[in-house]
Amino acid sequence: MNRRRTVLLLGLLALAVGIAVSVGVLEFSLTETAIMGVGLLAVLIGLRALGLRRGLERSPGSARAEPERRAAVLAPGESFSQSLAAFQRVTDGYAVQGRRTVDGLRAAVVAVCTRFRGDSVAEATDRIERGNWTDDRIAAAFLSDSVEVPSRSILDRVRTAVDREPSFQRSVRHTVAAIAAVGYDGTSAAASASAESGRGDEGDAERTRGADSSSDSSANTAANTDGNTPERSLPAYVYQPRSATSTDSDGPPRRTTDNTIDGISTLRTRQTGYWTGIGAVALLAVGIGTLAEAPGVILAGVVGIGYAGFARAFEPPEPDLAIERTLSNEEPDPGDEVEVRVTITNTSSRFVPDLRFVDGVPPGLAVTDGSSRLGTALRPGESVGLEYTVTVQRGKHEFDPALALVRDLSRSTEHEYVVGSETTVVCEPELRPVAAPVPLRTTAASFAGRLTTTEGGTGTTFHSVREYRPNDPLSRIDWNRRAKSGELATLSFHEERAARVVVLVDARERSFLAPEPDAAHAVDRSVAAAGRIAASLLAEGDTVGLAGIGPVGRDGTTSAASMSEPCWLAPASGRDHEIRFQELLATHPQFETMPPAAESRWLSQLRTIRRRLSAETQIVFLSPLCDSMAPTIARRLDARGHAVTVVSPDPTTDRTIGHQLAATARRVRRFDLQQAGIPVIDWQSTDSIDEVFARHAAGRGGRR
Amino acid sequence: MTSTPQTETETHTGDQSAPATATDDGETSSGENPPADDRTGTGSGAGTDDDAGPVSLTRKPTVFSSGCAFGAAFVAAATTLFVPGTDAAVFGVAVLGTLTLGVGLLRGRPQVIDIGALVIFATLILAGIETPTVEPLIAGTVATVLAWDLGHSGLDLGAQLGREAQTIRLEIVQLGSSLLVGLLAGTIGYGVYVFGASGQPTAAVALLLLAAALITVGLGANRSRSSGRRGRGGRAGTRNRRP
Repeated sequence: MNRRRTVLLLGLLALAVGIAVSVGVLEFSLTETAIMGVGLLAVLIGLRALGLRRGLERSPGSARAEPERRAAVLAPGESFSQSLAAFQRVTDGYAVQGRRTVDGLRAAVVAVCTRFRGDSVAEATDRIERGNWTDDRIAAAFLSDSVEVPSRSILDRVRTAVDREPSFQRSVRHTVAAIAAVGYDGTSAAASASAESGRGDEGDAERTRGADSSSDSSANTAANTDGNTPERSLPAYVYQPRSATSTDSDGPPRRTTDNTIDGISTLRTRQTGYWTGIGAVALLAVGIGTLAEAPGVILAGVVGIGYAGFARAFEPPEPDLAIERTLSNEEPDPGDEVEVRVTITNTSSRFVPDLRFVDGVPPGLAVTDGSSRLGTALRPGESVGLEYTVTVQRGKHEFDPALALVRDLSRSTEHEYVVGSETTVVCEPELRPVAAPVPLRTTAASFAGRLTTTEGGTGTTFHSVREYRPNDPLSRIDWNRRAKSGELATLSFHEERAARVVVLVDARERSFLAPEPDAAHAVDRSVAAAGRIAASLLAEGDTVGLAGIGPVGRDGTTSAASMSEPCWLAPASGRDHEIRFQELLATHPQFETMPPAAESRWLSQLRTIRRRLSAETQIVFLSPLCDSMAPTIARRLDARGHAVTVVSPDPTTDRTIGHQLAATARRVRRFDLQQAGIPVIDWQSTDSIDEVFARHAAGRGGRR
Repeated sequence: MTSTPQTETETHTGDQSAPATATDDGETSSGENPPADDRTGTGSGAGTDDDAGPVSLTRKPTVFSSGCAFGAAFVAAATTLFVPGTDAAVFGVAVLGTLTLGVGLLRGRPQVIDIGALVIFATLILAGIETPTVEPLIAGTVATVLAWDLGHSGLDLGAQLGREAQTIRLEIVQLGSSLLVGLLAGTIGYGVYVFGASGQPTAAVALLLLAAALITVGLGANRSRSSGRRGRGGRAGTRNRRP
């Protein structure tokens, strides 16, 4: 502050002297050296201030947010260490980083070998020691001290040296790829085929996926492949790519603001430093001009000084903006495109010379056509329109407050405002029955229906023949046998009953996972599938209920969480019930498409659900099975006598070592559940639920 | 659903037509954004994701401002020809500066734009240092500052709103205001030079200009700082009271 004042005083003094000299009051003639000095000073100031510009922070401010895109979710296995931990039991004591990785990978090898090759734990450990669990020599040598690292050709060594990849990372990548390949590579007898009915298809899918990724990053693969395994593409070595806990720390945020706002509210003011340095360059020109006594150059500097003054002369106006949003369809179906029309009006009496507007597209929606951003100038009372198209997904979507960045005419100061305007889109999931039958288990309630049970009785499908008992209905007596041998026998058919089903959606925080940050995450797919399953079951005459497990509120505030209960809809049937089912799927806070901030106490929710379930109720559990607790939920429910079927949307991917290991861990979990007698239907992200159920039905020979 | 292939092809053709901009436009929006994030997201997501692909935010400089900036830079380079006694070499360097600025615009590098504008300005000074003519120099300076200004504002707009957003109104206002300021400053300076300074000793001119510069710096800094504080404090006080 003091310095500025000194500068100002000096300036005023110079002005006074200059005027005095020019009108001839003061006989003051600067010598050549003095003029030189002034010029040099100006040059110095100019050069120094040039440096200012280099250190300038250039950030788009709050406009860095990208509300156009959906709220990002993680892919399973973002962190290698966490993926590895899935295979380890209780870690006893501290282990060094490298040792921990090796131990974890050994545990993973044991896990896959015991599942998919039928080894015992001792056999698997022995295999690791002898290094014959895989064809990959590098992987085998990495986990075993007795196996020697294969000697490499000179060309390989040169290539590795050029890549500058540490051999540890290279070994880990080879090992993870080898682990992921166990069970697919046909070197040994595959695991029991009965356990996993759809495995053939799956293996194929896995391979094609691998082929895709290798063609995508062919350059990368070419650099990575070694002479040993040219056919297999290795995952990238990313140990801890991002903080695995929060999605916001990396990449731009996907919301304009997390708070709800009425009217207009200031976020912050910042100096853009837009014109930084122009005054310095101008002074430089003045200095050079003075030194060289060139009037043209001095005047060029004067022009620059004019701009420098312009940069400091204004202050951004305080705008009063009104936003009106209209939607072409307020209650669309999932996948529909909705046109959003925003009208921005300057209701203040001042000219807004520079307005940059970013609309607060809800985190669950993605802009698919047009742009939700606008740059404009607004006269008092004037309004501008902005149109764009969003593709709507299931759920209740509230528009976030819009972001308005207002700069002054010279763009050197920027005020950031958020402008609230409530608009809500409610998109109910479609309850269209699935073409193929829903894979239920063969226990049922005691009402007539269409679920074919294992018990003999009345029905249409032949079950067995038994001895005649008095009072058997005439229509079920085997009259052919009676004619042939004179004995009375009674035909039994598969009893057809109604099933009582509760669809349980796993919406825990751990389940918000997707192969791509923008893709539909597992919970979204689960909820969509829940609607489809319920619709087909209701159409068959079964009774269906709905339950959810996971955090209820999204704000992180306890009040919101305590106000609304976790979702529970008792099994029933009828049109009225169907509508309530649909509404709950669309609007219940537990099934929001936005990932929750924190995990909830879902164990007590599970307890409540178990208490509410009546006997003979089946459960269709929709879960990505990407953490160790998901199988536990299925097992606990199964242990209480409820027949559990798991439908598992697959969110895994195979880009990095963590991803591949997480996918393998999920495969192991699926296998274990199958072994425990709980059918698991794997649902790849490329398939529709119809395809998955049809394939499953085909695998079971057409029986429901 | 129908728009999926369309948007995909659009992004792809965009990439192919502008390979230079495609490589590292992430720099536009400062180092905070991972450069290839958008592109890889849409590219690899095309195969797996059945949903309509979200529009990618390109964060590239806007077309209108970039075009105007390049035009103005060229005009500035051309004015060196009107200064009597200029070498062809000086003009050549000025054109080089123009091209540098153009590269900065294409690749979204603010530093490159700075360098380009500085080179043009340096050639102007070089051309004007030996001659008493002032008119082409004033015009050239205005054009240079305009090129630099519009280049940066195009970059800023691109970083904040993306190239797809409608920004033409804003850009016209910016162009108009910058041009006006330049012309005004140039006219005043020219007027002082023609009517006032003709009979004055150099010392007086130098002193007056130095005074103007110092006062601008002192006053301007004072004002903007205090106003910033006042505005922030006052507004925060009133706004925060609302629920």
